[in-house]
Amino acid sequence: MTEEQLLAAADDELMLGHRDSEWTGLAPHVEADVALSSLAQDEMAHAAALYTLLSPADPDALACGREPTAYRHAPLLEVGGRDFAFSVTRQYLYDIFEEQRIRQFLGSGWPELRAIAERMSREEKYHRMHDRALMAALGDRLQPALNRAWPLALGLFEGTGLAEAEWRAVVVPELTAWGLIVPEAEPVLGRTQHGPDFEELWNDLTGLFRSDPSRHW
Amino acid sequence: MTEQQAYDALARVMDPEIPTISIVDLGMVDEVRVHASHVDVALLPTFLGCPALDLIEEAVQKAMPGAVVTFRNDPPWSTDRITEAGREALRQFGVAPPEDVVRCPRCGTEEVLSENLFGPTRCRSIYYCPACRAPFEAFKAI
Ligand SMILES: [Zn+2]
Repeated sequence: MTEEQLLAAADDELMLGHRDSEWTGLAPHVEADVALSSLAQDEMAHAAALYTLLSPADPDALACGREPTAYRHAPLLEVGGRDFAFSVTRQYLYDIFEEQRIRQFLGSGWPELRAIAERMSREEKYHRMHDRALMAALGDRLQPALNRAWPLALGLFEGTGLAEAEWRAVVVPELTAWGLIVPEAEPVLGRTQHGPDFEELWNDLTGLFRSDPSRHW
Repeated sequence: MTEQQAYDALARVMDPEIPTISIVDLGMVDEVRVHASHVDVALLPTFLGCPALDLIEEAVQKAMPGAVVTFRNDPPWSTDRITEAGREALRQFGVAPPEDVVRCPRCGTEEVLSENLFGPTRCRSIYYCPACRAPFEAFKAI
């Protein structure tokens, strides 16, 4: 478990939390709106806990004060746009990956990280229950979203030390049972270089902080 | 001030989101140390990044002037720490306490429907009780 891996985890959570929060008030129905807003708050809080662990004196500067090239999230999490099916599919694929990552944290030699992971793990159980219910209900209507999300999801593993096979063993049978065809694709890598969607996200997410970095929000 | 007096003061500090339950009954108090000059209070946040922590710190200082409040994540708080009195206080507020089986806080039936695993705050889910023909919230078991 390296600091670089921990930073990647914090950045993943922050970007997903930000993208989820963009659905507040705009999701297709009110229950989805409430759920996505809660998911956003949970992911943001996990990010905050990890940034605080990495930089106890100034977690905000770590979260919002870096140049775009210094962020380490996977490309899956920066994708924007108003595609609800993609958001649902991304959340599911990511939350199963996160379950594996939390187990990695629980096995670390860092007691504070283990304590945070313990808390994350209890909240994440609700995320997965929610994701699975939604995936099962929407079924094969998610095929275009899955085709788009799948190669990006494979890119999550880059540099994490986590085994993709372990994740596949969970998601492939579930996706198949929901009537979806798992695409064959090469992973889209990019934890160290980001696309145009991130430029817009970065401006939105960090603009206020960068306007006056000395201020306490 | 004795340790008992300190706990009595903390028992008057209510959760900002559920004002019928105290931070003692929520199981948030990890350690209290009484010194000649002040009291150290170590609290466990109920949720990571809970936005109410500043309010709780202020309320503790109001109840016990000069108290020094710290928050720690280790040991992790869990809903198992909520006391029996705390569970009753949640029911009084209309929120089902965290249990393996969710029961309607009004009539007690287990015949309830899950409406949304998420709710108005991060710690609550939304259910519906057909007997009462009314929705209710349940504290997540975490
Ligand atoms: Zn009832």
